[in-house]
Amino acid sequence: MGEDLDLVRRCQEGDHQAYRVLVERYEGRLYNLACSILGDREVARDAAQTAFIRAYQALPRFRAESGFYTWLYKIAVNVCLNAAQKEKRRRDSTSLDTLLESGRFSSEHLWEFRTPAGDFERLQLQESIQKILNQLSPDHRLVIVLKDIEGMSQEEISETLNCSVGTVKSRLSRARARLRDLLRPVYNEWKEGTSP
Amino acid sequence: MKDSEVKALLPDYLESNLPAEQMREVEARISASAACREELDYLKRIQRLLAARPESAPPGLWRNIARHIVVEDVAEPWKQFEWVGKRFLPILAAAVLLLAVLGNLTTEAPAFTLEDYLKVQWAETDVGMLSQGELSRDDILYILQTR
Repeated sequence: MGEDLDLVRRCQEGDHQAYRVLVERYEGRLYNLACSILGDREVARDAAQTAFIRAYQALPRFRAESGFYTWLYKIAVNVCLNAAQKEKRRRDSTSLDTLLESGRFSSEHLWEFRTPAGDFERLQLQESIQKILNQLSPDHRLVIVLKDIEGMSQEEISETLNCSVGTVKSRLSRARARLRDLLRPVYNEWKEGTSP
Repeated sequence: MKDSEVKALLPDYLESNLPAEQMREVEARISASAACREELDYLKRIQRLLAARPESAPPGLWRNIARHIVVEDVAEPWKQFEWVGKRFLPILAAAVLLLAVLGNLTTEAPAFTLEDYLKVQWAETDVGMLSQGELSRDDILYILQTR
């Protein structure tokens, strides 16, 4: 974090190369966050890029009250929220059942946890999780991503989204219930297939 | 507690968000009920699935970002000194004011010579004669009286 702040100070003095180091350090995490929230690689790439540019423009106002990544993360979540609103009408409507029927991945991928062996398996797992997330509304997807994928606490989420912890709790509870309902048929089918 | 009540509490149970007493009640019911155990297993699998999301390779954004921020700095070069401006602008303004005041006190206005005055008031020939020393004191007084 100290190193981040040193780089930020150099950026504030106009050193572009220092900003390059920060971009290369965090672009993977930011891109993955954007992918999870937005559900589309191209849109996510644009959002991550916009977040970095906005952060650069706001650097003169960065006061180091939080870490650079926490600050950048908040900017990225806001950019993603705006992009999600724009993308609402173009949501991926492929249902999970349709995807499973297409044979591109099997329900074993979902329920029998194992570390993906190669790039192809990784991609399949990534796709399947994304398809699941895409079934949720942007608000629900966002809290699930922040809590269950990013591992943030409810307090951190409330600070990031500028809402109360109570709002986070209720939104999270509804989002998880929706997720449970969505996945239940696929889970039951898999369970029946594996029972003796 | 009924199974349905326990199932509703399972997400909070998984995160240890329940009071100690309720945690114990849920645990007891899980031990006794296969349906509750199955629901708990289902929730754990969902959690594990989401947490297992593999990370993509970094997308190599720098080139596009650099294009934006460099263009921005060229178009608005003062922006990179914004932080300097905000911090030092009051000091800078005071310094400029001080220099202006001191400058007025120490710098004399450029001298306006007799020749300059005469160029305005007298004819060109008279000035020429004056500068060449061809006019006597009486000549000068005469010219001044007649203009």
